Amino acid sequence: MQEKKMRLEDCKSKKPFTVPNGYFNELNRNIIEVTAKTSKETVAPKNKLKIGNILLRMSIAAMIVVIFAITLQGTYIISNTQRPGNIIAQSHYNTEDTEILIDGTTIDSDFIDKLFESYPIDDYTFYSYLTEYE
Amino acid sequence: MAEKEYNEEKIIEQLKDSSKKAAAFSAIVKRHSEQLYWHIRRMVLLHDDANDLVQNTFLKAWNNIDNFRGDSRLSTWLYRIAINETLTFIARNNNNAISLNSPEGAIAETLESDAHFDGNRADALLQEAISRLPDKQRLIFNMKYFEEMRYDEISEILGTSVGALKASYHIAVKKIENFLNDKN
Repeated sequence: MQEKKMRLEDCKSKKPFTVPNGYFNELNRNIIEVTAKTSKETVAPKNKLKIGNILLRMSIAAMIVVIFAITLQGTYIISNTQRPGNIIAQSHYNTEDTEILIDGTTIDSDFIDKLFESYPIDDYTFYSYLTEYE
Repeated sequence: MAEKEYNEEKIIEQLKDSSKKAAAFSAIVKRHSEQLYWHIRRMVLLHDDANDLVQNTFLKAWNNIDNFRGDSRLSTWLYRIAINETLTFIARNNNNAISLNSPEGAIAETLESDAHFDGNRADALLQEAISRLPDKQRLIFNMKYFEEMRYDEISEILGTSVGALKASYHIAVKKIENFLNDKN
């Protein structure tokens, strides 16, 4: 007796999955609440908006400088046109001849540029970028 | 209460107006959330995971809505975000209960004991067979078989040619049937 071969069209149920009652209404509400909250958090009072942006950028720049200073254990190559102070600013201007060597990993200066161009960049995202290159 | 007519062109215009952006996005959520949820759910199988991913999808969409250029449909754009989120999740969570590394039959057993799975053993085995396909092939199979999308629609979302999609779907069907017959 030949066994009947199963075919896909023999499978009748296309909707075996279920959701809790009222799930989609609740889902929509949750999403809208979260996005509304995100909007409120990114809107600053007008009279403080510019100051807030400047402070944020300064703190990100300061954080990057401090982290590089602390974690740099090996040597790093600095171009002859190095300006005192901010290594990141220097790599931004001298992308062709600046490589940064951190713990044996060469990091392209374009990567550093992209960090600044990615705004807003929160702590989690920034640290994720750094740890990818460890 | 009758649902307001959803006009995508109008919605896209409203997204550019900061006073109407939130309301426009709310309309997008109401229009697409269920479809995206099921699309994700068929990939990750479990309700809790799909719930997290669909919310992440819309949050990501909201955070990048200003970058939406309108050169594709909104639904296409949302699908792509959902697919990226889902594939990233699957890649990161290969050790959970629903995983390609599970022994044969384990996925079907997990589904049968899941409170949000209403199918029988055959349905569970079908889902296991599908889950054992390569990720992109699973996507193609789900979009064609369950969501009944046209090949040109799938092509627009995945960026794969219609011919390649047809071949992939045909192979997926054969693999699934072979798996089911082995289990039969």
